[in-house]
Amino acid sequence: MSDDKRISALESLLDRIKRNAAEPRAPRHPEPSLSALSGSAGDDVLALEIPGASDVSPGRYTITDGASPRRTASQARSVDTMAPRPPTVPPAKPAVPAAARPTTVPPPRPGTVPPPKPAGAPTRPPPPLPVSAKSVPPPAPPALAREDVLELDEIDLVLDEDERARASHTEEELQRELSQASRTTGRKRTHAGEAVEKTTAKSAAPEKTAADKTSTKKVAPDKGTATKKTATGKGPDKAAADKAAREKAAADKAAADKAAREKAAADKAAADKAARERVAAEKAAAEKAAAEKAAAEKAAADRSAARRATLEKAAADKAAQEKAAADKAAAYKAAAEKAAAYRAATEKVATEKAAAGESAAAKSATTSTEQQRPAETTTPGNPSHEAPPVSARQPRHDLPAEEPFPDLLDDEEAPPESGEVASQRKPSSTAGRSNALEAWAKASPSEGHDAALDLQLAPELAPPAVALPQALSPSFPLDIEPDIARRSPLPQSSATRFVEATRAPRPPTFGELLDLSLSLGGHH
Amino acid sequence: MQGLRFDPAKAVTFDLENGLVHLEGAPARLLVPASALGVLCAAAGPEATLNFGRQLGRAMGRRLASRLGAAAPSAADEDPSAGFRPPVAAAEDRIQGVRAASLDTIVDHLGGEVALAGLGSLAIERWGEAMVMVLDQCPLDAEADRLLEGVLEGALQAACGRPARALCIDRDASRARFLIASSVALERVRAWLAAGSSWGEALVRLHSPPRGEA
Repeated sequence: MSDDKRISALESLLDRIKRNAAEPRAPRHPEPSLSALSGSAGDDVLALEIPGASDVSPGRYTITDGASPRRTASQARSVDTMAPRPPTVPPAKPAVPAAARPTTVPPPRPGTVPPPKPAGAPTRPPPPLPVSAKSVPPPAPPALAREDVLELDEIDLVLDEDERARASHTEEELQRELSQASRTTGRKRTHAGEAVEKTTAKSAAPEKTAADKTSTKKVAPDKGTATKKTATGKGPDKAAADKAAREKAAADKAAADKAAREKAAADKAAADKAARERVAAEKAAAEKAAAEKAAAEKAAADRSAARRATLEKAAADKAAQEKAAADKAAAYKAAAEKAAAYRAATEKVATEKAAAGESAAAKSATTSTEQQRPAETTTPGNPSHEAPPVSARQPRHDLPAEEPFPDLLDDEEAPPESGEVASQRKPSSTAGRSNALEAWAKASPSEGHDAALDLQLAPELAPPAVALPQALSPSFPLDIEPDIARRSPLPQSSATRFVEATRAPRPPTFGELLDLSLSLGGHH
Repeated sequence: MQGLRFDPAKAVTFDLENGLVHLEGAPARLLVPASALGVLCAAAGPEATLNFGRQLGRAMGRRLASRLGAAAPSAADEDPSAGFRPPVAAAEDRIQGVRAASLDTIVDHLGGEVALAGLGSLAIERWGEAMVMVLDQCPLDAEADRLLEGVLEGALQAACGRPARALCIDRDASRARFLIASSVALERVRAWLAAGSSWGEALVRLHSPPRGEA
């Protein structure tokens, strides 16, 4: 390469650097811009800034992380590199000076997106976007660019093709490493307070992974190219990849544990709720059953009381009916007896009347016979009439129909039907007896009265009792059906009980039995 | 006393630490194979075996008397004013307690003692007036019959206070019948059995009055 070409290249490069320096710089932030850091033995640093990530192209790189404008290669390697090696892509055209030392910044590993957060997980503030996020403008401090320009002035650069390729290769590596460093730094800054707890890191994993994924998508072509070219930075990349893998595994595990705990808590809560509901349901069912049982018992008691009252009422009614029937039967019986007695008395009166008629006829006949012969009159009223017998003068007192000869029914004999024997006639009533006695006393022989005087003092005979016609006699229905209460048959059981008497000898004791046995066989 | 049952609870104590076996607080005893004991009895002779058995039976009889005598009302219980009773009187009370016991009670308690000794299951038969004790499942063979006779004699003498004799009149593999009678009666039965009479005939003849044939 001739000097003219070199000069022209340097001038064009200088112009570009100046142009870049004149552009406004973005605030200090983990920028998404690609960075490449090169130097020799860590002392020399080449900083080339690229306006934006979209402008990234082979040979145009920006070396900046926003925190340390000048970074050596060793410092760049000290950045925590956790991401694994990116996939291999075709190499890009180098645009970095050949003197730049290759530094590998592995991109975020694709496919490391943590599992989505569970629905019930607490919401955390979104962490700052990673380095490669597009939404953040790339910071480019002007002072840094000027210093770099000044340094470039002092460096003798030879940009031949080999060096360009090597620089490009180095830039790829540096870009990858710087991207990882920026991402790690951002993550450290973002999760400074959460780095102590793993669960916090787990919660931040999704966002980080999403950002990494976005970054990966952005830098994927260049990364692939650089990865293929920079085989020398495999060791740090692998360590970073392992570390990233471990972190990812830890994050996954923490997320899985948290999800499991949350699921277990949710299941437990659901089980507790179900148990409480079941207990409440059982309690309600038990109460309902108890209430139903109480109601059933009350209803049964009411039915029993009603049935008992009905039975008692029926029994009382039956007893009343029986009593009424008994009273009625007794009344019928008394009436029948009374009617029979009345009938007998009537017949007796009729009989006596007939007898009295015959006696009167006989007396009249006798009287007429005596009247024909002369007789001494003893009585001034009836000088020619013979005194009748005493019995004929005795007053007759017919009892009223309601009391047909009560004394006669008891202890008096019926008078003879003929009536001729006067001495056998007896008064049928005390009143009549007293009158008869008075008449007898008045007609006593001490006074010199005879029987004829007595006849005048005797009361007048009662009119003969007229038998009531059959139609007027009391009639009662006699067709009464008896109500017989018979004794219930005896149950089939033994009516007698015999007290067992056994006569057995007292069981012998063992001593007696032994004596008997020893007494066998004669003397002992 | 009728309700008093034999209680074998904790009757035998195995002192495994000291290697001793006790029976209701009695001195240590041995667990000897029945066959070895039979051989020993055969070697020792009838008299020694009989005495050995009587020693065994006396211990049983004393335990039986103490058990039944304690349950029976003694003279001291009936007359508290009698005061202290000498040991002889106390032993007499115990003997009276055994004699007043029923046959079932004696079978229960004496059978329990025999069972604890491992000599079989005791039963008592009455053939007329004769008393016959039967040992079922007896582990000893015929060589030890004298031992069993001695056991029964010693037990009855210690329990009832009368010198009773026992004679094996029937024997098979696991059952042995022993007639309990006086010495004279046993000699006569022994003679009848030796003459070829069965034990049943001997018992029948024993009930007949002696005619001097012995």
